[in-house]
Amino acid sequence: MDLVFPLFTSGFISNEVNLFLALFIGMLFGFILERAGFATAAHIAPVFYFKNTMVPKVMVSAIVTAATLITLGVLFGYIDYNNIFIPTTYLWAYFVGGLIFGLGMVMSGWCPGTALAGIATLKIDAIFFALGLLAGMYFYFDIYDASEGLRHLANDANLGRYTIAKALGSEDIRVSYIVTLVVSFGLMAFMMIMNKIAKNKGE
Amino acid sequence: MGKITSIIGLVLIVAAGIVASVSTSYQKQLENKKELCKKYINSAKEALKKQNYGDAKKFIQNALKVDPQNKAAIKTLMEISLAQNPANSAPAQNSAQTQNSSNNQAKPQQAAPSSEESEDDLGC
Repeated sequence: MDLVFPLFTSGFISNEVNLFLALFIGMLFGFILERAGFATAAHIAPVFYFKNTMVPKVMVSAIVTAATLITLGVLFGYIDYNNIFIPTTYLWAYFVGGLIFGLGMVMSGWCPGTALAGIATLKIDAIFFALGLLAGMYFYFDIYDASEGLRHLANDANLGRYTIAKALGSEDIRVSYIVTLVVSFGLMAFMMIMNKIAKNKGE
Repeated sequence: MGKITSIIGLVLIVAAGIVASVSTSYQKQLENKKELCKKYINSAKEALKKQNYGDAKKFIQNALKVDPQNKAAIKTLMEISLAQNPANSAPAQNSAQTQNSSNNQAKPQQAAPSSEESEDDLGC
């Protein structure tokens, strides 16, 4: 049988196998996060002050590797691009949500994924972060129905399945790939330059 | 040493991606889409042989998403429908619908209910 990735949405594996694989991959992901130092808030918060470039380097390496493998898979016919899950883009919701996310991350040194890895290693601040996350989610769901403004913010500017290539008027995955490389390495270079400046200032 | 190995590894991965992107034309991508479609059709035929109609339909729907005009995919979809509903493969006549059909899957395939049939009768 010729396999086509992703295996589940392409119909090659059942729900049960998919859930088992998800559990395994999730555990592996958490393990790698912890070994890479992401399960420590002291490594993440300094990134926003340009004092730590480890986190951006690991993230860029991961993004670039994943983008390359996906691009190669699509170009050689092993991955069905249409079956890869890409969440719907709600422009204003993502903008506001991103601001809140970034504010929370710089204040606490955690994001949802790393917080779970932190909880697994019994970090108390990660537990408080997770409780705050759940409280925030509960509050949002509580006021969602009552607030028309919030519903508009959450649902307006629906761009559907929006990719970099689509934004640039193309259907070619190579466009997304090249832009991803440029932005990722550009960001890493920017962080390294700012890190040098911060070190020279002796902050 | 580990740092150098990581950097070399990253450079090799990126180089492979760039080389593949540059050497693959958009036309080649479209050809690969046809190969992808063939894989789905082959998988659908295998599932059909095993009488696994659910999986066969899933595969063929994926094939039609990739290439909606693919004749082999459309033909395979018809084969799956016929295999699932052998009662409907008989020559179409304007006969009354039978309520004693043993094939429950044929029910959704029947024509719209007449005014005498209520939704309750159909089990909706």
